[in-house]
Amino acid sequence: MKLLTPLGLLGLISLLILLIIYIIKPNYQQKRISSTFIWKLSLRYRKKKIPISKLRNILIIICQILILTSCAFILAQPNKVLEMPEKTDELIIVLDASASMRSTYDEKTRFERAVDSIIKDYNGMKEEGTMSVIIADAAPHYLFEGKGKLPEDAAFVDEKFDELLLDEMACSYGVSDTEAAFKICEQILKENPDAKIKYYTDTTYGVVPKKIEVVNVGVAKSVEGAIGEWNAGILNARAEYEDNYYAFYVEVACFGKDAEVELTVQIQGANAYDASDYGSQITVSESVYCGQDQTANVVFKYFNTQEEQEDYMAIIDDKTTVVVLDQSQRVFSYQSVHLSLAVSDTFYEDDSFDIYGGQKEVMKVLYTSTMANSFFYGAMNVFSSELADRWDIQYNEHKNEMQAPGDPIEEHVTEGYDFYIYEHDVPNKLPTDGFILLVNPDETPDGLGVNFGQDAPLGSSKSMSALDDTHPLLKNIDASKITISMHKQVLNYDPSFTEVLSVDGRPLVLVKNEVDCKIGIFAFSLHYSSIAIQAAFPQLLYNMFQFFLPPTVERNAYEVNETISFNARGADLTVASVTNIVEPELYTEFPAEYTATIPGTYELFQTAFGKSIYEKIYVKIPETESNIWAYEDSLVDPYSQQQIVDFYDDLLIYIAAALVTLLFCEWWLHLREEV
Amino acid sequence: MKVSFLDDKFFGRLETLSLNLRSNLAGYFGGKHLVSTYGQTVEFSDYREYQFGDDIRRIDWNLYSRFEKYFLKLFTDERQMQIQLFLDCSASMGEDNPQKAAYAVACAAALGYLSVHNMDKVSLNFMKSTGCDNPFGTIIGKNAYFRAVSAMNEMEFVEEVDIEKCVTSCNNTSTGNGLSVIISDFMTDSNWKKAVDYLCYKKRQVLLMQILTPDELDPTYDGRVHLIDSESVDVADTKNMKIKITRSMQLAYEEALRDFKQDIKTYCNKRGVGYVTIRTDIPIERVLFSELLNAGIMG
Repeated sequence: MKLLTPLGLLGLISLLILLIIYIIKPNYQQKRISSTFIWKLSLRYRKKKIPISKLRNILIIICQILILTSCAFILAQPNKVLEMPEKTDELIIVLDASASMRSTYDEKTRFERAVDSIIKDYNGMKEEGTMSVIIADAAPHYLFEGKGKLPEDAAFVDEKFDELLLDEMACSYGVSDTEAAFKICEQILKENPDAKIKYYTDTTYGVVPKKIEVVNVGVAKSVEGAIGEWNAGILNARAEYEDNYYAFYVEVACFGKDAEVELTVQIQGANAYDASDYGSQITVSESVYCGQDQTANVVFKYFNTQEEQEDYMAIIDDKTTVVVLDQSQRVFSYQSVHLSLAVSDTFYEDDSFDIYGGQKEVMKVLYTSTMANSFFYGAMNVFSSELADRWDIQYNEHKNEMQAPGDPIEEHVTEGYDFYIYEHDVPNKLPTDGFILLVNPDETPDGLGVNFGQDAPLGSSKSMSALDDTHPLLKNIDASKITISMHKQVLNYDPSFTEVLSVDGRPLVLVKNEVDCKIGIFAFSLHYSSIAIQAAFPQLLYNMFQFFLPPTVERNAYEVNETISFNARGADLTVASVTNIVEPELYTEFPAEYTATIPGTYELFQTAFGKSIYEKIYVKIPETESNIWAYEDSLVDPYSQQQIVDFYDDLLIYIAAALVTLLFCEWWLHLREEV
Repeated sequence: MKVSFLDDKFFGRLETLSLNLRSNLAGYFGGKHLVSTYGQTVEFSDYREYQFGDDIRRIDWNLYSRFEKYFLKLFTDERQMQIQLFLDCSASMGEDNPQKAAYAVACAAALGYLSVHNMDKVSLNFMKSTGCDNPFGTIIGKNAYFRAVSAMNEMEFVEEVDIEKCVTSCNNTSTGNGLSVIISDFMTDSNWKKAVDYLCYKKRQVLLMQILTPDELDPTYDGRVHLIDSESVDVADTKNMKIKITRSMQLAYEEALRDFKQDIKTYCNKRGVGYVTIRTDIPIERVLFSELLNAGIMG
């Protein structure tokens, strides 16, 4: 037995105190009486005490002595000394599988070097030891867990290590979720708090928890002519449509050393007027100096005038290099822009970048009316500039004036456009190659699914009301501010239509959004409503564009593992990598989500109204991964969490103190009773 | 603080009472107590035949006319008694308990008053240490008695008393001529029985009055107590004792007290001695009109 706190035996002094108290306490209180004669007589009558009653008399003091002795020993914390059971060595390997681990030096990536080290760790492990390997990518997971050196384990582990070395995708192209990886470690530490953690990474940490060994697998930086790992990369790039021409903004950075890099911009299909025009190819190169761990901005821009150029030069910072494009290099449309760095660094994944979205889709709009007005044209003008980078809106007006009796009836145009607006006079057979808007139709076209009645005056102007304020068509529109005095009765409509606006419970605006049939109906004349003279009118038309012809993607460049949200105008959409590294995926329900795990160009293909639509997006590695010599202030400590959970405070000392207190209380009460 | 029951009201209540003494006592001429001998009083007692030498003036001629024999008419005799009051003046009787002392004095005073009221002689003997103090001598008549009573109130109860020596050394103890009363708590190591035997030897009527306080009858204290006897000289005196009073000890005390009283009673019964126990927590009137009446000493 060993006493953890030998000083606790000082508590035995209380025994001495107890005895002193018994000695000095007033045992007999003096009482003066007339005579002790009877008391002396009574002694003869007192029953003879048997030993057990004597024992009973001293029982209290025996108990008190025992309690005090026990308390003293509790304070001394006696412990039985046992031989510590030999614990098996458990090693947790956390392997950083972020994109920067792909940096290659001497024909080996950092990831491969880390795997080689892990294999050495495994081979150097004791026979009874175990190893767990956690791959720290975007979704950390076990490669294997708790495997030792038994033959069956060894075979499994070898197989897993081979997979790591052979699988191109073993090391990801994205970032690693370090916190999640160490969360997994906590599960092992709960069972074995003494397990060691070894973290293979290329990030340098300022503060590393004591029990974690961080192994940086990067090869030393280039200094004094020595060769090491470094990276020059394109962090980001974008095209901006400014003053009718595109300007290209590129962010370039060097990590590991200062370098002057050659940045080349290749513009494919430049200045093509339509899809049939292949345009031209423009190539521009520029040498850019990058300080170590610093970002340089390069702008490829055409200036219309010298003054404009001087003004621009005056406001840029010293980290920005402007490459002035001449007239032959100016670009108002393009198919793709390929940016590349001519460098021999050790990390290749960010040496190139593609920009898409430089060709606008032509949107042909037909407006047909027997009582033509300028409201639609005005509204189109308002939001066409808003959609200028996406649509080239071509507006055509066909005034189908009221015919005199006997005149031949003019045929309706029902094909060749993307957006048909029929006001009053509508064709019997609706077009099938575009989205249709019927405004106050005089007749009901075949197969429309809506039956119209007579014009219904409301007597006075009334406000419209929305059945669902959150409907996409009503975005930024307050329906109650739109008034109407007469409308066309809608007797009934097909369930495929959705009622958007109404007055007095009678439908005014109906929409139908199906794959091959996109129809909007205004059951009122613009002349009997205030909508045409309000900002709500162009807004409503803009919302219709977005509702019926939504953009497929929000932008043309994404990062690896970033969620890409798709919309489609047609029934389905196919996502495929142009390099065919990943299998094409077909989507039929929208909005759909896609996560690209490999950088590169992806093609989005869909068919709408019989037309094939191709779009491209570029998926790049995350910006942070270009920094192959990243530095973090601190590393999460999975052990700290473990200590909080398993920490127990011994309360026996407090209980002993309480017992002693109670004991003294008992003495005190006892003394009072005797007094 | 002195406690006294002796006032006019107290003595006024005693006017209607008298001492009831045995008739076989001799006494002196001139008292009021009827005795078994024949005397010259007017109280008729008996007849007997005439014998030579009898006074012919006492022949009942009415009987002679009927029986033609000479009979003498006999009358009872009345005598004066000597009442001896022995009052225990030890410390246990009142040094610490004025109530007990007052009771003892009141009892003595009451008996003394009844004596002088019945034309008897009274001697107040205060037992102190080993001798009797009789400061007033033989008291006859109320005037002399009241002078003695006023002095009794100032009496001190100190030291311990040897009852045997006090009684036997009393030089005015006559034979067969009255009542001797010992007023004490009898909690003494002295052999008081010899004193009683001495008085019985002197053919005196004897009465023992035991005065006990409630605290003596039923002690209320318990725990570890150092009992200091009021008669002890100092703390180290052997009369004092250390004792742990528990429930069993209290029961033993009750038993000892009961046996102690029974022993006195048995002893007294054997010798025709009267014995009365008086508690000081009951009114003095009840002592006189109930306890002493029941004991037959008053009538």
